[in-house]
Amino acid sequence: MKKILTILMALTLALSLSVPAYAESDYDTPIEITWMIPTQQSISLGESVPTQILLEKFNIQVNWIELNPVDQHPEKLNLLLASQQLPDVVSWVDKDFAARYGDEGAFLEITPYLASNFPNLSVVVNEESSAYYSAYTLDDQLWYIPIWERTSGPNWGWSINKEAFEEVGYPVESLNTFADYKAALEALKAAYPDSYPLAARASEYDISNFLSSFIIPFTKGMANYSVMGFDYEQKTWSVAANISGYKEALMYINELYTEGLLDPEFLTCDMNTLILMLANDQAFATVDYVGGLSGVGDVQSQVNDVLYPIEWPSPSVDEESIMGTKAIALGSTGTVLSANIMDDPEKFERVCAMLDYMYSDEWYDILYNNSDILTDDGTTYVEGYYVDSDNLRDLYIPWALYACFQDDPLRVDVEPGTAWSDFSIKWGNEWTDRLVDNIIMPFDTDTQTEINDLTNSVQDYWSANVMQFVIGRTDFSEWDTFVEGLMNAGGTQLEQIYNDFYQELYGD
Amino acid sequence: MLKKHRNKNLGRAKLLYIMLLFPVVWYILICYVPMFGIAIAFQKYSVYKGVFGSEWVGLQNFRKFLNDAYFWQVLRNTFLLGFFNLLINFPLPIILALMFNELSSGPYKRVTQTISYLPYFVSTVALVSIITSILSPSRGVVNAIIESLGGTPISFMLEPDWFRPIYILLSAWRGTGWGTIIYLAAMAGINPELYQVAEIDGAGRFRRIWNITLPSIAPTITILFLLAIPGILGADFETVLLLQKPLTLNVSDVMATYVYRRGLQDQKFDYATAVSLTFSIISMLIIFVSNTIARRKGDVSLW
Repeated sequence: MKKILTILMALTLALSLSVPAYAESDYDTPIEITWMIPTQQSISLGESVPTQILLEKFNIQVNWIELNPVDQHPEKLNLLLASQQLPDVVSWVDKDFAARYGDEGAFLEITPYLASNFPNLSVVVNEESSAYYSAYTLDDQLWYIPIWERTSGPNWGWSINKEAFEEVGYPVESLNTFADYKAALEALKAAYPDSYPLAARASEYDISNFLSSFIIPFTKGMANYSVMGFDYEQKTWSVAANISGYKEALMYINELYTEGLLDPEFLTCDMNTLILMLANDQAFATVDYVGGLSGVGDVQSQVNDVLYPIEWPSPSVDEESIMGTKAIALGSTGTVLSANIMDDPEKFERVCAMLDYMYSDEWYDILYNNSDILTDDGTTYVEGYYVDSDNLRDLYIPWALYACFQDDPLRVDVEPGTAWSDFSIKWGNEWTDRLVDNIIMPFDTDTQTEINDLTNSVQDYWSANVMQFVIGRTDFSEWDTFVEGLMNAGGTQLEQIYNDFYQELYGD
Repeated sequence: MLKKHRNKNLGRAKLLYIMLLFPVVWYILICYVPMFGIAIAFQKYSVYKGVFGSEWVGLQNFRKFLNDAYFWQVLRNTFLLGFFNLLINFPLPIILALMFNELSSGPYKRVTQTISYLPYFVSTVALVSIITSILSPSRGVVNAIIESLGGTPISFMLEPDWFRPIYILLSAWRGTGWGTIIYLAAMAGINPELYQVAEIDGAGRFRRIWNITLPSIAPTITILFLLAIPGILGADFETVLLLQKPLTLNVSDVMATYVYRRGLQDQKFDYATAVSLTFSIISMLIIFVSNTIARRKGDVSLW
């Protein structure tokens, strides 16, 4: 008897050890789905710990279609739409795309099922009511399951060689305004005459991102790289180049360029060249994508760990002004369900339950508070997040699962106490009094198409002419002619459309 | 009798016709059947609804780009780039082939020819990277020479005036060696006795080239020229896209990059198809006219 009991207990123990902690499935019958999701993983998404927990909980087997989010994903999605063989679930779709093809019958409208099948998401939508139109269409239709960005901040910012700046008498604390930065760059140029203190790699990223890092603070958040900007004082929309501070931003960059403070080859510079310049004291600062996964944080070790990310707020016109707009908490992209999923009610119910679960606090803990990688002070430390051991990061915090549902990038930190960690923690979390609300303009499909056509024309003209001012080929005395050209290219019609719509939706 | 004769020929050539069947079927399936997609140019196309389900809008897409002031600039850029490219890069392989033909057979000739072919096999991305490095104002060899001669470095890649020369230079570097192959093959077919007789008559090297070699390969030159002419409106997309910079957009934005941007990036497939169709029709007209002129002026034409 004792022997039998011992064997039974041993078997029970062995069985319990073989089953992961959360793996008690709520469902007996497995189902199979196809899920198209953007990933930048070094291992298959299915091998990640949170993924396994999720799929075991709901007893779902997934045929993954994993694609690079930048080019492969949209191309493949178009092919699948054309072939009418959509996967059951497609993540990383923007609202306009979802609404357009949802209207045509490709995707399932979520609105009728929100309360019944998505209780967690319903709570989120209610909490983020100010972002209603970022997820809903003007006709109050919800065509996708929107991303919930719990925290957010600027993706682009200044990174400097802290030691070099201190060497010339400009410690980090002294760098607040653009005037401070220029003075520091001038001091660096004097100390290192063969250098170009500020470098950038505009050949790899659209020049718009580089310019936005100046335009946004100079216009006090009224404009960025987009064609249109919103004057929150006048409550009017106008072509961005017309907004106060836009020209001044370009003039500032022009000064840096003509005085030899900005690398004259920044328009053709790539990451490898940038790394060499930063590592060899040929440059001491850059304005770049600060995040991991192809940002300067990723290449820290390659520049001999000299880079120090400037915390938010980065340089501004003065120390009090508005720095930009708050991120929209809901719906920059989302997940759609194929309309065909309704052919299998059980599959539909299960998938909804799974996707809704990903907005719960329990899922948040699984993703962001995994005890295997939690530090003593409660932060998530993924060793070598930026540089080494991609596998470890992808194993515990797969980008696709947090970037497509409950997105809290501030939880995904590097080693606590490092400059990058400090940056991540403060990234958009503090100084929110220097941000204004984003104005959401939920145009209908036809209006959006008209806007896109006009924007393309204006954008073409802008792209061909704006850099002429920056490098001094066109004098700023011809700025009005440039703005007139933008208006003639479609800016006038755009202003009309935007202001009419704004008045109709938000007017007194 | 005639039918019997024809059937006999058919029987003899049965295997040849079977061999011909596969490329013909391939052409029909890959090149001709998809042509029905031209209908997209006349639709408000939806990827989901497809060609048979999308709404017909007639010439709306054509009207859109004909009324777009920027389109005419793109057309001008395309034509100028293609014209100058043809003007400079068409004769170069002929000249190089003539030079190779004058070399006596041996390892030097073989090595030189092989080296001339090599750039053709290098990827466009690598070639553009190389030329960017060579022309770099601070790190490039060209500007180093300019500086050593007392000049000011030039940002070649950012100057609109330099875009076309760089594109033509890159095309020449890449395609000249490869282009000599067909001409050398044509020259190999020239009767060597002609050269011997000319030499006896006292003709020098250049006289022999002018009076024997060139006339002998004239049909080849004509055919290749007729095939090259439509390329005036078809710049090499990859090269242009890689060389293109915001500062050179006024000059470098050609039809291929315009269609790529508006069609693929902005997902305006209907608009892009309308633009491409228009350019294809223009190219077809050009080749028809050229062929007619060639047929009337000489014995050589494509058809």
